[in-house]
Amino acid sequence: MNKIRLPLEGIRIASIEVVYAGPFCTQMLANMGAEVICVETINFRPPASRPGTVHGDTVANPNLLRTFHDKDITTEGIWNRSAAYASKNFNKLSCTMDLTRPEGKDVFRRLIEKCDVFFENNAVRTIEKLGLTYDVLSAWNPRLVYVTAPGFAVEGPYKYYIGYGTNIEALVGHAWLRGYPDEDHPTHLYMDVYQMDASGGMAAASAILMGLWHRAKTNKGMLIDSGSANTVIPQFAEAIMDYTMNKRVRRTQGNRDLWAAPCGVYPCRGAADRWVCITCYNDTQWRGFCEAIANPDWTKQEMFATHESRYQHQNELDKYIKAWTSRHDDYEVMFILQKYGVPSMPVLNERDTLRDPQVIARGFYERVDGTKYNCGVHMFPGMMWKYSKTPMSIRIPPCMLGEHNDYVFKEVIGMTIEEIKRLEAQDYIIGGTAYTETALG
Amino acid sequence: MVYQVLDNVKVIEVCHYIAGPYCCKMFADYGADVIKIEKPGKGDGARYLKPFIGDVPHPEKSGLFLNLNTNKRSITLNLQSEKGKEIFKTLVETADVVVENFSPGVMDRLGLGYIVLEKINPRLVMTSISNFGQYGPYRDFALSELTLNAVSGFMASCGLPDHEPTKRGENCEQYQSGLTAFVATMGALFTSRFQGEGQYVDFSLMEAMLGSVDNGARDKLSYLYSGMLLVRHDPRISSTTIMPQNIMPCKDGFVQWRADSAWWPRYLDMLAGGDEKKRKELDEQFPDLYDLNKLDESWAVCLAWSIDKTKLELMAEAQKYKVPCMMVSSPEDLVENEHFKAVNYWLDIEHPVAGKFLYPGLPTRFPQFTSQANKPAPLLGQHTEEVLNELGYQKDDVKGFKETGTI
Repeated sequence: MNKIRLPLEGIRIASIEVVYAGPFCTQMLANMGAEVICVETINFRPPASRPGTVHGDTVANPNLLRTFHDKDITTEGIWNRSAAYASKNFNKLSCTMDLTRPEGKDVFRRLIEKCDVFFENNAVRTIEKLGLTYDVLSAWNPRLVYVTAPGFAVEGPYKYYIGYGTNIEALVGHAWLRGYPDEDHPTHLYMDVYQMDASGGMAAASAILMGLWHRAKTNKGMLIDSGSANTVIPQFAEAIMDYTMNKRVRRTQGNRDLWAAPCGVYPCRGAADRWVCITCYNDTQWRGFCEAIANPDWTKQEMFATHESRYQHQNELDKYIKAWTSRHDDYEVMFILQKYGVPSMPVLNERDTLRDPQVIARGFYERVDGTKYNCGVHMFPGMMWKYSKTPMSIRIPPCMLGEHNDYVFKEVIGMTIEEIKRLEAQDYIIGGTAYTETALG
Repeated sequence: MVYQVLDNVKVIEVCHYIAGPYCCKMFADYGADVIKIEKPGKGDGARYLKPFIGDVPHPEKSGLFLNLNTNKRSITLNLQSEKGKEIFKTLVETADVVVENFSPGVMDRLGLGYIVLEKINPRLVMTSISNFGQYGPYRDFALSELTLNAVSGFMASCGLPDHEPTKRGENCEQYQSGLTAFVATMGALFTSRFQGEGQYVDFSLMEAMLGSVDNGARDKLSYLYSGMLLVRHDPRISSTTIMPQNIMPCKDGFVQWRADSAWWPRYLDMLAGGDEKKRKELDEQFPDLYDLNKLDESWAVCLAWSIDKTKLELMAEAQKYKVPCMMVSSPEDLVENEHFKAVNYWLDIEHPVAGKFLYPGLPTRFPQFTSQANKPAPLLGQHTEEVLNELGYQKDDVKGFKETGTI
């Protein structure tokens, strides 16, 4: 029997991707076997995509330090070394060219002619300024699937609005719908946790797959608008529908739920900051909960008799549950309650996820050798699902800036060595793998 | 021209609640023929979840269900009965994809596991969406939106210090998992269509969270790189500059600021509003963007400047100077927002029982084509007879199935 190839083997994607959503999108397709070529520039370092030191004063910032191997920010090639970069750029290739000058752009044109997909998630104005809009690229390659994933969309009043994921999440209502249930709930900032990058990246990956599906059917390329705001709004559908149907303006529910009681985060015994989450959606789960903790008298009170009355008396319920969980280990609570079918899980931090029995049994973390970019050997968060016949894995370590120039220029585009040398001499393509300036304004 | 990208795909959905139905909604909204199999008499449990129109529970009036099941067909089928299994297998012969989200082992016990279905249709893609995956010590554990947040690895760092960790809003992680399952299933569909090999997709909600972008993967790797955990902290601590990057109150709500060194001069221009003298004073007041001793002072200046302006005014003013500031919208603000109205984002869908109102639109769009994603969610069993006829069953057969409780 012939070996079954990965789902997207033979598909080539050129990507001008930034920050989180873009790299996350092509990471999914690279994992599925597509050849993803990141097209980068060495003329400036995009600080959010390839983090490094911007300014002497930031060196001491723990939030930056913690993302580097051994907290080392002195080693050369710092832009290859942040966890923020490495965690979403394996299985990909990197090449560098100067897209701002015609000769560099011509190299890009020759690459696009050899690609199935072009993906980008820059500000709309950036792509317009570079002259890389759909009409230009589709003239170069009519079979090209062109997926753009800016903040909003390729049209409308906010087309040119600028903002990071965090801004857009505020605009689409997530900031309003999360946080503790106080009057100032939107100000409970979740640093660095942005739902929009996850939804925007994943939706853009689905867009590329649909574009390829369309092309297989029609032999034609297409333009797909995967504006990030549009991708995250559907995830808050209940709150939106409550407004469109009932004109009710929902606020945050904190850690509660519309349907469940109890539903909360409870402290556990032991080291500081250990918590367990417990949810009972219905009578069956509540009965399981009571039985699991050996039916103490407090559970038999009138106010906890029905699901509705428990919902009404959640604060009282929480006091009793808290008193019980405080005397137990977080994993112990999970094992006690899950045996009786009650949704209960410890709040896992990064360290816990490495040691969790389920994560280990599923082999989620994978070993990656990063010695070539001075990061040693580490375990990496791996694949998000499992295929029975085409198992995915981390095949290629995170690509270093310009690491695959040779391959892309020679093998993919088909340039001669003389041509490469000539273009390199004029800095249209760059043989080096370092930024010309390490600081961005 | 009206065109649906996935109009040559047929999906059998055996799913309930959120993640599975959202995965299949993606197929349906982009044109696939999605046949949703529901339990006779009761249907998908999501039919009984809030919000309801007028707050009156009714299986055809749950906003959550109506949104998650647009453009699908519903048939009722008792998968416990022999005849029901036979009909299911006949359906599978004609399908490209089966998506199910029963507890692990249920489909096998019904005699409808992948091992059986693959023999009926070797090109079949079967996706099993489960809480923790089809194997492992947590295989049979229960899960909720809250506990899904808990096992992601990012919740521990969400919220304020000295408070309990807090989850993300509403049920968004079940939706995100459903979207991820759609990508996983589409990938397998490529193997099926272009290599002639179907396959089985073992999809775990926990893994979909663990590997997700940003705090998901980045901070796990950061910990392994440096030994440092991300802990809940005052947002000011993670500022690397004195430019505001938090949510601040204003006249009628809140706005979200975002800092970036490149935007600092524009930000000062915005505060000065064309007044050169004031601009100069600001430069003198804040000579060093990186002097964090002046962080509180800088944020106070911003607050004073913005507190008597509305969130819409602030956003418009900031964007004029290309400063990334956006308002914090409530669901009402969002639905009434001019941008999403102008791009026709909302879908106006009429349902025979529930009525007509707006639904969230498509996540990605094809500007060259007109898509048609406005068929309402099906009534329970609305298409049973239609689908059975397509499979070759006659009117009398259908009558018999009804009498025996098969459908």
